Amino acid sequence: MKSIVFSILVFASLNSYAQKFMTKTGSVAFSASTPIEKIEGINKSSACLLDSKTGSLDFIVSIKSFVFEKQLMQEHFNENYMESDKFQKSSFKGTILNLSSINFSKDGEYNAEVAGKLTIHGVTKDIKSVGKIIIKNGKPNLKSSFSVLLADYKIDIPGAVKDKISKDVKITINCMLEAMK
Amino acid sequence: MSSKIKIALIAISSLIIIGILAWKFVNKPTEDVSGLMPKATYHCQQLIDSMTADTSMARTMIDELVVIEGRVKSINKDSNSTTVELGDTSSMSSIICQIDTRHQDDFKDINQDQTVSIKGKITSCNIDTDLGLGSTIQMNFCSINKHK
Repeated sequence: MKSIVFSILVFASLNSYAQKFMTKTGSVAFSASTPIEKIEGINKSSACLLDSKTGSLDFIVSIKSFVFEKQLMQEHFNENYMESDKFQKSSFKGTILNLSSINFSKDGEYNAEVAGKLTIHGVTKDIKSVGKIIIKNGKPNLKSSFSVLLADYKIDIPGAVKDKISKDVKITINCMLEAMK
Repeated sequence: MSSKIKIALIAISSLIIIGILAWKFVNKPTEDVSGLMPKATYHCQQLIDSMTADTSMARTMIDELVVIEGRVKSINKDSNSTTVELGDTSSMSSIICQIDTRHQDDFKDINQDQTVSIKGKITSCNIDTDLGLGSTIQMNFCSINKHK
């Protein structure tokens, strides 16, 4: 009897950490800088949802919410490159491949391998990437950095500025998640 | 001074002036909207409910400068940015305000549960139906509203 109760308690405690985590203020930054021009935008209102039970991982990023230092860059990014009136959001829908090696109930730094579908500018591609999940006080902090080729997502760079904009863009993610209530 | 030299000086001066103006235009920082008149003032929940109920209204509100009054649900501050989430803690729906870095100091004494009035440009309205995130309105270039 005692062993049954003990097993139920252990099972319950393990499952109490199998839960969903989210944020609506995640940071997604991108850099298309070259030696000629510094081009960096940041979005600190990205949504991220992580299910620690299934390993599913979702990101939703509003394109118009990216902020640049210069007015002209802000306009060109939205009107010419990302066509944000037509393609309002970018998204990622994927899974953590090595979920079993991440202990969401134990503080620590864990390497995470992620695969899924990344949609930018209306084009969806399968991608794989690596990152870190840092657990502190039961809260996951997701960090990752990867590159995408603009041409893969049908983002055209006019010839006049082709030396000012990098053909591949570095994306940096930093999301501090909270347990969903 | 011969007329040729005068013409050359005028041409060079003009080129320099045009060059300076062009440089200023290209490097002009993003607009500080804190001093501009907003289109309208909304209570946080009122705007969320309106945009959730009428998605065509949501589309027309994009890029509009508005003032939102509401309770701070959460506030994230780091060395170079502040993001404020307005909304009711009983609901997943909220308004996310990215604060203009020029006005970050306005928020140094703002904390969770305080009621604030924030001016900013609406950049998106996302009505989530499958992830449990509720409706989310996002705003950029935000600052404390000083117009009454």
